[in-house]
Amino acid sequence: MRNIYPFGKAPFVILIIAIVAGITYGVMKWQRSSAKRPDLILVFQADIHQKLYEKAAKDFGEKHNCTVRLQRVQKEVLMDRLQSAMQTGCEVPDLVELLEGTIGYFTRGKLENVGLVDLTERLKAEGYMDPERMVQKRYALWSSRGHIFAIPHDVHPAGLCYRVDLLEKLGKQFGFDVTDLTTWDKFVEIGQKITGEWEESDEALGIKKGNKRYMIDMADDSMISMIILLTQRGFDLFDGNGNVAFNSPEAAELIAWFVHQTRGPKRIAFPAGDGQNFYQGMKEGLDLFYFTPDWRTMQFTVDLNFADDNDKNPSILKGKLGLIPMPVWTDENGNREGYQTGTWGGSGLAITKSSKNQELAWEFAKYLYLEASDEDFANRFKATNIVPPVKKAWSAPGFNDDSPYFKQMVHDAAGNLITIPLSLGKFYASQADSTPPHFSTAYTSQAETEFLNVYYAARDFYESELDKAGKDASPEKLKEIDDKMLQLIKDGLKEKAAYIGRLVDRNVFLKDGVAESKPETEAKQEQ
Amino acid sequence: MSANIKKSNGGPDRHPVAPWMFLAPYLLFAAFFFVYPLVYAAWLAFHQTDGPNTAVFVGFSNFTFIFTDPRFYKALSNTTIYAIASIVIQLPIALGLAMLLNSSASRMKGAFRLMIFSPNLVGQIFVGAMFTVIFTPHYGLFNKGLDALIGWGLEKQWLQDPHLLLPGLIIISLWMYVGYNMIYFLAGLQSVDKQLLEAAQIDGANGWQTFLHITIPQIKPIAIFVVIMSTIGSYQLFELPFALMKGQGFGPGDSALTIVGYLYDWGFRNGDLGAAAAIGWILAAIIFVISILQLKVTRAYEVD
Repeated sequence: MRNIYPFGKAPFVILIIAIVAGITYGVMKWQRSSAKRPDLILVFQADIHQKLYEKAAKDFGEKHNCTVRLQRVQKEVLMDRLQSAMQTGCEVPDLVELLEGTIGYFTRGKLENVGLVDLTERLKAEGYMDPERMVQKRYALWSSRGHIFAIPHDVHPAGLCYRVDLLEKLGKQFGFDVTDLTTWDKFVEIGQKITGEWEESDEALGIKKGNKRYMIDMADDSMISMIILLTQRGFDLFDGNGNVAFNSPEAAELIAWFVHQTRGPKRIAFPAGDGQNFYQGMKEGLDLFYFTPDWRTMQFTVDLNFADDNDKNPSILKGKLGLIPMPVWTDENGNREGYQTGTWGGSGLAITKSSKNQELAWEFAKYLYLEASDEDFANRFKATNIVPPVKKAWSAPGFNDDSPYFKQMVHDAAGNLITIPLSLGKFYASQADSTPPHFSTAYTSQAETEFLNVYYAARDFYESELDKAGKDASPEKLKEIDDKMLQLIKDGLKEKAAYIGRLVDRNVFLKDGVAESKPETEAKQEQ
Repeated sequence: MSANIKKSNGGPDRHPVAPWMFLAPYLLFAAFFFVYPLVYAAWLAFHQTDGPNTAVFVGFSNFTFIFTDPRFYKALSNTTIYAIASIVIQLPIALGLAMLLNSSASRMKGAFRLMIFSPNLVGQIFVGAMFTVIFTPHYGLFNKGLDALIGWGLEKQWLQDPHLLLPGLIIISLWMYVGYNMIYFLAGLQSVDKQLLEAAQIDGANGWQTFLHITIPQIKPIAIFVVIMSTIGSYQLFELPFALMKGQGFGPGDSALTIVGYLYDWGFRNGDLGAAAAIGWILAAIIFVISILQLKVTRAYEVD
């Protein structure tokens, strides 16, 4: 042994292991590099899209004599890997389905350094900036400094979902019906009447005497509810040029309004949470209304097991959910302010700059999102309930059919309140053009944090002042508290907007290439 | 003669390169994964970046920004409160449990040890995900338990209320790490000189006096070690609040923002690795100062 290797047995074994490992690694690397890469790779995170895109990918491949690979990756992993790969020059997929709020991560540097293809000119040239063909405001979510970097997959207008059986019961008890809830003022007025406790148990309805009952589920640990309402009022955290836009009197009023709904003796909202607890609350009538964009109706359908005909233990909520459009904001004369609805969520398809097949990727993107067949659009709607921004999809077969699970309460010719089936396609598509634009920048998550901080400060102030004032506080005292709170909110927003502005200003990469003119998407906004 | 022996044994004179060859893998590894990142992090701290490939020299501006950023102080105060709570609340409980399990009267010692230690077997990510359910208002196990026991807390929003989130984090870490620290204390208690304890009893010392004058001095080195490790671990807290907030920020009002969380935000949310590197150096300095203080305490103990 010593003649062959003079340092002993152990070092010899280590050497052999090192050689074997090195050869194995080299062979694996060679195998990987010599395997033929497909012409296009599309990465996405929604599992339902795997099934839906498979056929389109196959058909496209046959039509264009190319290969398309679909890869599903978990959301956070997708973002982290994609960013790292883009920044370090590693191989990236040709197309990526991004989620709402993520475009800012890719556009925080100079425009020429953005790792995604600027699609603005292509969309213009091929007529997709035509409001007759596409919902234009949806481009806002995928734009930075006037440039569009992804094609919107959806519109996601929000409605309010409710339990038809519970609202029928409460309507009779308190003398109202859901068709009255057309403005937020009215909604709050009725909400204050019916928020309280269930007075009688009713096994069929799933409610128990003494259980709490609130008018609406409003999350105050995240910006979800706040963004729906803020955008519905026609405001946002940033404008289309990436400038801080939340230091406005309207945003301050919205926060004050939110505090009144989530705290104090007249509160009407309770955060229902998510997952099992959310559905338990739904079953027990904890909250009566829920913000519900199109995608959430499918989530309810799946999670509450509506579609399982063989279910021996059917959900007590099957066929009992109804939808109404969101109440609107009004001025002192009762005229609508802002938009009919708000928005929650979204996906968009982007092409990576380092793709070697950018033209083919653009063709596939169009084939998948913009020029899909009626059959594909119909299948996608059936599987997701999601209304696409492509208007021709709204007449696909089945799109306007009544939902077997969701209802609406309306007045018949005789003025009686009746419950009839609802077409989810019609319900959401009718609001698509009234969905507000929503902008996202690299600083959106921090702006959300700071915006919420202002809300928390106001909420704490309100609660402590109410405690000090006591239960018998006079209306003048309550008005004084409200005025002080509003001023606190305005000061807070000013301070936080300055802070976020400081963060934006600090970014030396944004100083070049900031568009002077307003982006087209913003200019085309219509109310 | 000795030279001959060395040669016949295949010593350093015969193979002067051999030791370096054996050391080479580690040295290469260390140079690549420790020295290079350290130097690169120092370079980065004086640059603003848009990912690793685009950097602009900004001098001390990363540091001046961080030291004037209210979020940094929020992160620092959250982390410090958490670290203090870890020591002041967690360690006495861990010591108490260790003493309980160390007493000969305890039955089923092994089972209890396992039960108390077992939360530490699962990672912070899993625990964070679990407590998002346990802390749910109305339906969460913790809130239901509180309501059943003391008639309070059913609607408490542990993860949604900025005043409750940090206490919630401390409660979770209590559940998670008490058992871990208890094991150290248990080892310390089992090494206490029994002759000294018997001598104290013969001399008429009561339980408290024995604990104060025999047990505590005997387990002091272990207590110091546990305090140092808890402090350093607390300043490195990241996964638990991150998982608890499902990766969506660090809770309402940044109430679960830690220094490492602040670093993560700058590095991976804002894409500015320069600022993140500067925060890393500041964190290293904080831990260094704490370690020096701990060292002084240890030396004081040695003089005693």
